[in-house]
Amino acid sequence: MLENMRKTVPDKVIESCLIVIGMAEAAHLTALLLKLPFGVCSTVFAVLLALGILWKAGTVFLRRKRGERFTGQEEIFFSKLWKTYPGWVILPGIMIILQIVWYYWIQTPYLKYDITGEIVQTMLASDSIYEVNPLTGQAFDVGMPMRLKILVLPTLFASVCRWTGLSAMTICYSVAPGIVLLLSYTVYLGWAEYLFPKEGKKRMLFLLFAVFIYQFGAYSRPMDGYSLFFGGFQGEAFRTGIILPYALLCCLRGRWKGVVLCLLAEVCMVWTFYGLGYTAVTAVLYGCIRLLSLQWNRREK
Amino acid sequence: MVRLDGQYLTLFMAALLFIWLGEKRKYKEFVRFSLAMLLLLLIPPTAELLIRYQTAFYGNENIWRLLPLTALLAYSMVLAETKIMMALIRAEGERKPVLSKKREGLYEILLLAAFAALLCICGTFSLGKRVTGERTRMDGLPKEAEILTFLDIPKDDFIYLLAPDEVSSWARIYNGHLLLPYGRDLYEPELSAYLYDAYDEEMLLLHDWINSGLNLWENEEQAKFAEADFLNYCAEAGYHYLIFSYERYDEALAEALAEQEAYRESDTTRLPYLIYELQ
Repeated sequence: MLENMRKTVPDKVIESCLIVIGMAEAAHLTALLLKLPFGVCSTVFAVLLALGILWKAGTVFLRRKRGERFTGQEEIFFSKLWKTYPGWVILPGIMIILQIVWYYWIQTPYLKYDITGEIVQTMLASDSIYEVNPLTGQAFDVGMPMRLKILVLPTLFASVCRWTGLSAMTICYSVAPGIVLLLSYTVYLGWAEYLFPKEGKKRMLFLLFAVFIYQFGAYSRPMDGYSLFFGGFQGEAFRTGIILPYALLCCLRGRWKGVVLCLLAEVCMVWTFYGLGYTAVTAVLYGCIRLLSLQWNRREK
Repeated sequence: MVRLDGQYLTLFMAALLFIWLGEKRKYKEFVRFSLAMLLLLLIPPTAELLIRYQTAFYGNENIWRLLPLTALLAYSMVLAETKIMMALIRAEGERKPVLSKKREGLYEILLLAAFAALLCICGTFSLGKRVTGERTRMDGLPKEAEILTFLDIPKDDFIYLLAPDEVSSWARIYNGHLLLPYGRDLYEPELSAYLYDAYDEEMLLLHDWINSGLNLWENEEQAKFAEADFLNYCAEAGYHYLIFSYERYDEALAEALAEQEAYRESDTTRLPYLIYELQ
């Protein structure tokens, strides 16, 4: 159990991303509620991010000073795997790169049911957050639902556009979905580590099958691959590819901090039932199963 | 449109059965969770509860995202691959004392290909071509919207554009300084869930006029006067750019544009559209 709760590289990557989402949400909500310009929001986000990076760098530096070993087993594992089974690392790697290039740089973006691009461009052009109608650029007649206004992804993308100078279309439809896809595969690397501890080849085989399932399973909207390949910039894709599988993995490993982070991240990124989304269903169902298992084990004893 | 012509749900159930019969003791909570979630989604009352819980913002089919399909399928395939390899090695072992690395590698490649073929047969190999098209530009703007790149859009000001749907649907994504008299939600009703704003009859007429013309007039003279009226309306409203497709550019419109002075035709492009700029 303790082994399962130990933080792995996928845990560090995913939880860091979820914390960045939280920082972006804090900056976004502050600017939204106080009607601050988008430029101020993006600066606040940048400051929070910088503080987070400094804090992390500080903790790593202090641990090094104390002589703590921070080179994890994972780094040793990957170098051993690379030497023994290079093919099993290269094959999924090539397929993932091909997917990123094909779906996010060769295919046109799929806009149905989504207005992320318009919202990002509106924030950049008008330097405001939901002060004007993103679809027309004019003042609102009535407005937008608050449950949509609190969602953070357009602000996050617009901030990245502002810092990097890249166009909104490049960030929204090429860079962001590529990162989401990589993070999704990182989650499944975490799954592989949980299901096949100390079995390097099976872990890479698991990842390869996940790549196949995404690729060949992208035939309808509820499918993970469809969501990630044709809507990777949307909060729903982040939930389907990262939050839900990571939340379940954290439940199975008893990492409740991860579950809480997923619950909060979901509220920041997709429309939920007053803050309760799919992650809550996953956590509650798992909780019920765990309780019933404990009761059953007690009776058997 | 949702295409439900894949069989991954069937594969999921087969995988669950395979693990239940073989390895269920190992990760029993994961297996129990998968089974419980599957039952919740299949049984109508619980499925209905989940549909109401997720709110009407999402389509009913979205509840299937709760199933840990990728994790369980991939897990069962690794287990199946391991078992089949062990069986092959044992079978070979009866004929030869040791299975060569080359032969083992060949068996693995064949097995991988078989699993990939199974997933492809139960899914799709379309590479997304029926959903999107190929980019002609790095930024992702499709061919029909490339006309937007010929507009002179100020960096510190905003200008109005009136264009056919295939162009105006990309206008605000391409550049936030382009204002539109109506948004995509006028002709993509699914987007009305995002905004409370609605459009009046005037905007609906304007949309029909710029896209296909109204074709309500009895003779050409009436049609020409109607076109001139719309052009005056656009000039008075301050619509800086008007874009017409070649299909839209009929005789009545051509005559009305020739006789008015508010708009001047911009430099021609090789694209099948005409740009008129407010003077």
